[in-house]
Amino acid sequence: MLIDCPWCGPRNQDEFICGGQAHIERPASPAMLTDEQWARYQFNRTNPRGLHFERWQHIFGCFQWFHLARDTRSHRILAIYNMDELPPESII
Amino acid sequence: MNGGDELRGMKSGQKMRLASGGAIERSQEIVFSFNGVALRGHPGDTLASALLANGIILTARSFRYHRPRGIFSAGVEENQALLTILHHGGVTPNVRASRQMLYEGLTACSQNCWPGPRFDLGAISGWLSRFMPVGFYYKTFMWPQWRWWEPLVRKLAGTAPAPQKTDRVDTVQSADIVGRFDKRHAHCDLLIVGAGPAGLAAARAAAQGGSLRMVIVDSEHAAGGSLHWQPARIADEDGLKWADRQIELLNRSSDITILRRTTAIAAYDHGHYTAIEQRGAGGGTLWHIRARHTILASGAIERPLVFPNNDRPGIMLADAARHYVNRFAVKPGSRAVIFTNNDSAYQCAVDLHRVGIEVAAMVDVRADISGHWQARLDDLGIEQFRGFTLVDTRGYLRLRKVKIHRLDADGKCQSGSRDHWIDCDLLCSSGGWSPTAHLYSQAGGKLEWNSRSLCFVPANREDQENAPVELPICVGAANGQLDLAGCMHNGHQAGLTILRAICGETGALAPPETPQEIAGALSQAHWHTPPPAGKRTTARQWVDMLHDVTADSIEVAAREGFVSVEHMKRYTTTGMAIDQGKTGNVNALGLLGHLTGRDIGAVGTTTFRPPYLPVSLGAMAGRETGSRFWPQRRLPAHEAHIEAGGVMEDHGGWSRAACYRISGETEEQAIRREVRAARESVALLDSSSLGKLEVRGTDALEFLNRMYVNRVETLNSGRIRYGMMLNENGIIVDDGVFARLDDDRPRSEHFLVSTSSSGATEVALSFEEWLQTEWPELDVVVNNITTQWATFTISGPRSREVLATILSDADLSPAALPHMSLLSGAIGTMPYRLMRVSFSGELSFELNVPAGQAHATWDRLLDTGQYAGITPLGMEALDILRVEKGYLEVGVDTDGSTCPLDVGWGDAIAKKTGDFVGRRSLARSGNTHQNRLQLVGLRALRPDRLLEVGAHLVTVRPRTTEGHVTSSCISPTLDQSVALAMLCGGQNRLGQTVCVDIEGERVAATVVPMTFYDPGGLRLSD
Repeated sequence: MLIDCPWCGPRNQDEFICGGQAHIERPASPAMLTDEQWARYQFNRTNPRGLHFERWQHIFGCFQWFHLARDTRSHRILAIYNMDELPPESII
Repeated sequence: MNGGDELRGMKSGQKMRLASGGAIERSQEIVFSFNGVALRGHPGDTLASALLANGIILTARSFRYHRPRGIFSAGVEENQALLTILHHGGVTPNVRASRQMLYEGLTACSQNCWPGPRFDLGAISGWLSRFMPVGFYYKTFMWPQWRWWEPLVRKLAGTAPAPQKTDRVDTVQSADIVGRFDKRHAHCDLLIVGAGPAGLAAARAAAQGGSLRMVIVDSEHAAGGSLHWQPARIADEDGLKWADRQIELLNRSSDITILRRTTAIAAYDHGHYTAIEQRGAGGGTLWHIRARHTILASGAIERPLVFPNNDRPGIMLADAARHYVNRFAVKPGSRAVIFTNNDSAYQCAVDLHRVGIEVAAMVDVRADISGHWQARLDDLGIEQFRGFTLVDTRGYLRLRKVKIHRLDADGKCQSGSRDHWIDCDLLCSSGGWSPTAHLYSQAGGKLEWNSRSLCFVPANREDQENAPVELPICVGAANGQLDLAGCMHNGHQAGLTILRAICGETGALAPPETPQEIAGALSQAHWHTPPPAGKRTTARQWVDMLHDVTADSIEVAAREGFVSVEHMKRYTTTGMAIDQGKTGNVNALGLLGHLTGRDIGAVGTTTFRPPYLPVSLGAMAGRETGSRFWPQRRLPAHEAHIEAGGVMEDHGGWSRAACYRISGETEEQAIRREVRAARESVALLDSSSLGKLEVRGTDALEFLNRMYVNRVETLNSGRIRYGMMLNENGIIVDDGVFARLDDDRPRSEHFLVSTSSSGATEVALSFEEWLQTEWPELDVVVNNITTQWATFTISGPRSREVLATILSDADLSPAALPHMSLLSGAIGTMPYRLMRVSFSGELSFELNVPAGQAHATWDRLLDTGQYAGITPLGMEALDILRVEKGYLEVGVDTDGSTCPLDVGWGDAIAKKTGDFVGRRSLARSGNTHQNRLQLVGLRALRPDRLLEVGAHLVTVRPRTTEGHVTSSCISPTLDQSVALAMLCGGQNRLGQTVCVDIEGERVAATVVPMTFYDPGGLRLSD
């Protein structure tokens, strides 16, 4: 894939690592959770055929993490946005 | 394989070479050898054309049944004439004779036969073949277990052995011959695959205006594609001249790169293609090309027809015969029969006749063909058999004759009709054409069956849901367009489309003029030859010659339920390995459809996957071999360790001294000497590889509190604390110490975090990930300063006094600098940080200096400490010191399932308030039960018996394992064999005796606390 790093521009996929599914927030008080709830946070991930939101890091570049929305069928990249942002409404 | 060097006399005559014609350099001769016989050819020849010129067609034995096989094609689809090339760089197996350009001294051997292809002992498996149907191995070698049979079967199967030696990459004698691999990258607006008529028409159109960056790759050494063997006129001149002129024009632009002898082998996402540029026999360049747009003008591959005994040497594709006659001026035989189901083979008859090959018969399965071809062949006096099929052939080492039989209206062999034998030594067969759309499929495009032209063609992109944006445009034969005018028009239009998409221009050029071709008759599907009336079977009909898959094999597969194309492929191995579905696939699919009553379009194709051609692993590796693949990291004072007699080894990617040998010493003696020095006087260790991270910011304390299981807020400035880090799953991932520094910035906190040597990068990455993705609100900056600072550990009872002479201004007394504290200062202008920490159990200091001063500082410490007997300390001695002291090493004593409770950290964690990464996971029942593997000390009952690392702790009844040894040594200090071990419920088993199984020997050991040496820690606090 050719990934358009928000800081460095388009770069080959080799320069990045994928950090898996995005928008999983760490629970504020883990101690209050049941084992099941904690396991859900830790392990349960979606595996969609189609739109998928992911975290990527430009590890052989600027070291920055960012969000990436990708169609898992065609590997088309639909959006790249900052870590503190939600996916753009236009693609949901 | 046969010895290649002993040349058994020179054969001079190229008896099958035509007197004129062809794109070869007749004025020069090249000497080469095949199976030890010296032969001659010309520059411009391929190995295959040179062999044919010398009258050699038999080159190999088949994969399974060792049937004699010969040169079958003239291109990339060759799967019979696979030879081993011996060259200066080593050997290269499985080289297609039709793709290997001839060079002086080329040495080639046959494969898969012994002693040679004419007489091969392996042919005995051919006689047994009736007992070895498809799936034979799967069905037969199930009992008792496949793995018992596997080594034997593997030896019997296969083609050539893999090269045993690494290709020499550093001694290039002639870049064109010797194996040498490289990688290169290219970026372009437009990639054109194939420089045949369609590709060149596309390039010509897209190059208008000169603003596109273009890369054109072509497998051949000269552009022109089909024009090499299918002469034609373009724009009122000879087609090849036109092609050369186009290349010349394109070459004028510095934005256009033309790569010859380069085959695009793979299409990946977002316009990433790889291509292999062939150089000589064993070398090449792997190109990575990133293209905004791609035009595939990769042509089409002719399919053979399937009939009984269709694999004999002398049977080849019709277009291959035209290649050899037109391009290489070689007669592949003297008397030919042509067998076809389509119009394209008729020109073959004309071409063969023109050069004086007697065309004995034109056999066509179709009853009606166009009047044009009928009249043309009549003019040449070629006998025509329309509505006939081939039902058998004869000739063991070379085709001698073929038998034909009339077909009835249903395509069955007509009953009552007489067989008819025709003598010939060449049979040209054409079963139609398959567009080379491999890369289109790899890129995510779909293929659909075209029942008019009987081939799978790229589907319209508009009809494909979720097609990738970067899908290539297929033009010419790759798009199912077989006539020249159509190819040119197709290519031209695609070139214009790209030009418009990128520049918004349309250009003024019109497509090049080509003569109109006559409309012919439609092709007729003929997937195999039915048995003659009244019989159920025929002789074997080979569908995939590479793997010896027959029509019967497909039938067995279908009968046994392997009717999905993916299942049939794997069961019969059709279209796998070197061939990758280039010749046999469509025939197999047609036959499967026929057998299961489905249309071939409904059967579908298997998915094409990279690479299109076999690629040497050397090309994938390029120059990234040996130390270039995994560069060894060196300590800043590396040379000093060599000078000191360091035995350098890899430790977590770093080159470090295992021990320092002085004259006459064994390594074991050196290690004991170093341990003794650390315990009794003073030792010097280079620990510069320890990870060093600066963590700074208003929230640095809060951040480290979340990252470490230890309490951070109670740490005073100038003090140091041991830190253990978990992942969110509660597993120990690293440990080290962190020091709190003074920070001159208001409200800012400053920490120096020290990680394990191998963990520095991982910890830094993990810090970044948490800060950037989870807690962006924290004001913290992490800076990895590992390589900026060199670290020297000075340990032992006399370490303080040695250091004091160097750091004369600093107060190193226990009161001023107690254990686990630090101070900063300068020696002259050189800044340093001194940390009083210990991994050996002795009084110990870590002196950090700028990396550039490492070598000088090492020398100075050795000089200064000489009077006290200061001794360089290696990794082996360090390991003994820390095992004696019972300090664990993460990743050695712990593994991917070890949580802090397992190593005795439960109480310490309980004191910490608040959350940290991994804390919640520690509360899961699985992490708290008492029978987990827990780290303990072991003391062997026999003090001189080493408890080897990895040895299991076993119980006799029931016979099972209850743990394993993780670290051990025979302690020189205690004269006692000690170990650290993971033991089930170990923390509650102190005092018990366990049994250590050391490769069958049972050794008794007592479970003890982990600290063997100085359990009170008196020496640390001195």
